[in-house]
Amino acid sequence: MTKSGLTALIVDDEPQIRRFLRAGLELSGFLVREAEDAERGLKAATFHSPDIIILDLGLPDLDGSEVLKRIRTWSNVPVIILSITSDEDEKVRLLELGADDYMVKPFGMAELLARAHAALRRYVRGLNKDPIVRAGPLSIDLVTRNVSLNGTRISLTRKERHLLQLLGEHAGNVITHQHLLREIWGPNHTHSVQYLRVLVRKIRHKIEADPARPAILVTESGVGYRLVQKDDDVAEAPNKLITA
Amino acid sequence: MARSAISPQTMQLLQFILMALRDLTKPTAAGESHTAGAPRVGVLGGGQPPHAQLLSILKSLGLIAVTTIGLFALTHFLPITHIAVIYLIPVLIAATRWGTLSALTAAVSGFLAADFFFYPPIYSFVVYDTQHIIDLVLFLVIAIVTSNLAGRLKREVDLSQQREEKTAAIYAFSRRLAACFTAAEISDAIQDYLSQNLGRRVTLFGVQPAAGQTAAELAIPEQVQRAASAIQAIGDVETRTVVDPATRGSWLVRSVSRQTAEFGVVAIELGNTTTEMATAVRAEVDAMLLDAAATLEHLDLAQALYEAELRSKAEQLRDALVGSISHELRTPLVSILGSAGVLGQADGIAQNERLSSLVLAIRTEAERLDHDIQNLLDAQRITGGGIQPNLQWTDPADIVDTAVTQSSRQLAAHHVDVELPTDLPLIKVDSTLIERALGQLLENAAKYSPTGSTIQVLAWTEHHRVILSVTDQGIGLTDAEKQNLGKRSFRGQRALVPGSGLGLWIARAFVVANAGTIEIASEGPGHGTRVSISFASSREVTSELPDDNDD
Repeated sequence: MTKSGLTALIVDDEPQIRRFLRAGLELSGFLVREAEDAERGLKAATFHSPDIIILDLGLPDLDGSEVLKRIRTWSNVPVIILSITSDEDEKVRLLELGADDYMVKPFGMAELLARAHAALRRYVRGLNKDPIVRAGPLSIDLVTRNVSLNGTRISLTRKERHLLQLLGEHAGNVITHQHLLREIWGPNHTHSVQYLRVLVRKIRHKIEADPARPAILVTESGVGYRLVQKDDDVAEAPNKLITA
Repeated sequence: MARSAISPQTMQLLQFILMALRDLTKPTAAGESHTAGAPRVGVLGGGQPPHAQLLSILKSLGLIAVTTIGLFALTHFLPITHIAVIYLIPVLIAATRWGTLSALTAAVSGFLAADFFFYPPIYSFVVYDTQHIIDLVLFLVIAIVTSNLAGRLKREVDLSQQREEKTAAIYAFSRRLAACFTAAEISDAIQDYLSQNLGRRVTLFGVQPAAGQTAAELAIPEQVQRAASAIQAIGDVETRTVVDPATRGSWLVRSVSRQTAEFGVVAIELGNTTTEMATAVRAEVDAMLLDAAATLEHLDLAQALYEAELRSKAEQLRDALVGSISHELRTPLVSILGSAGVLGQADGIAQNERLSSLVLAIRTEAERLDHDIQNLLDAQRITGGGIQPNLQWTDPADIVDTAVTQSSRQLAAHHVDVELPTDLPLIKVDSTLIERALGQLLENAAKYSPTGSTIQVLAWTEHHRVILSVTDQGIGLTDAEKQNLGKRSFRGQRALVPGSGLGLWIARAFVVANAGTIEIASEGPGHGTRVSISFASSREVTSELPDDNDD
């Protein structure tokens, strides 16, 4: 339990949910602020500039996605969405609106923390310029785009390299099909998911121990892909230093 | 030696024969009285195909041979005088089992065998004793008469059996009507009933015009569709023959009932037939439809439609209730699960085995509850007609991986063996729905098979389809269970496992909504079960991938 001194803002109308989120976040070293509706949430986000926001979609006064939109007009702060529905289109819409990740209720605290830390690292990386991302035996140099597996450089095609870089930039968080397709094949191909399926299959054969049960490049059904990071892939949770 | 005297027994026999002959010349009362009910085709004699007839003749010849050999052996030990009477046994057997022609064959060959082997002079067809001649002639007559009587009896039995089957079919049909929820289901029931009765593919049009065109209707050639709607529009009662220009196959199209358009119009595919055959089938169809229309009138379709609507409304209300209750139940579950998760990680609990096992119990039970609620929500989605699959090209391997991962808690006590080829083509499905369907199949496999046994997940391609199968080593299925599998809330009764019984029903609905098929096979109780789902696969997707060269 390292004391990171990072501030997390919880925006959720259910007091019981806020209570366990607070407990879980505080146990892993966050300072926690709570807001029970959109209005207070937006106020807290503006005045207390939290390092991460945990945002529930079903708020009494304003839809969570609207809150997200407003936050994104001025801030790039990591936002993790909590939602009771598991509708894929809705998830994609939120991710495209700029959410860093989403959790479908009910969820485990450990998973939420992993996603929160991943989002924080992405945010921090922009500030402290560490170009190497690790995911299990895989390491990706975001600057040179070199990829190595267990320390040995592996040969990849241009598109394979590009895909791994995009996932690496957001390592630990989900990236939508649309985003990947747009970046790799261009804006006219955002619906050609089959290209992605084939490309991912090829990459898995190069990096996964068992391509049929992937452990590094995992599928988020109907939404996109995620590069999974283990605890020891990241030295420690990001800390407050970088906000200076 | 009473050479020319006729014995009293023989007199009796003659009288009996005369009576029987008189009876024979009367019109066949049995046949007449049933024409109103059942179709006579194939029931009255001569319905057998030629090769079956030949086979029964050969069988009766065989019987005679066996009898001859037996008698031959027997006469060495016992003096048997009425040889001819014993030959009546095979004749009777042939008459009751294989019909008149076989009985006659048996009678003639029995007559010849008796003459040749047993009447002096032996091994010759010549007969010296007048008594023997009379015996032989009587024997022939008795054979003919009894075979006829036995044949008639057999027909009676066949007819009553057929009547019974017909009654059972009507009963099953009316029961099915009573369980229908929509006009479309009623239409399907009528269509199946007609298909079953005619033994041909039958498509029914427009029991309820508002329902629009069904998939089955759309699969019919345009020409036939046009004829059907024309018949419906003008209330034509004549049977029409339509030839599909594309396949050159003939179709019969006519209104089900000659009185009302309420029961729709049927199209019956005949294939490539001659005009005579088409006429024969048309007569058969007309007779059958007369019957079917009477049944439909009797069952009161309008009432059935009304009741179906009522049932469907009740179901909707129930599902709306289930939906809101599920949502209400889920909110506290989020807190329970989340809190248990935090507790499990906390200092003082994580290190204390006793306490952490309690926290784990809270979590697993809450997860189970959540899983059940999810099933209820899925069921509500299905009956609400709200499955709109978001079809996207998907790697079947991803579906298997996600389903196995999501069901890992239920599969923990089993060994899961996944074998997938590396070059499976993509399928266009809603991956989350198919993952849930496959998950249900995996959980069922785990529920109904012993702990520690293997659950095998296989995938392969066949005729441009990708097939995923789940095979367990569990309790298998009885025939009765196979019949009931698709129903909502059906659960295997032989294993005491908890569950809502919704699993397979949900899986089936999700697979079907994605234009897939589901098949369940079991060698029987105790021999495990294999459930396979299949989907049309892509062929060219891989080559479609734009160039991706090394830099």
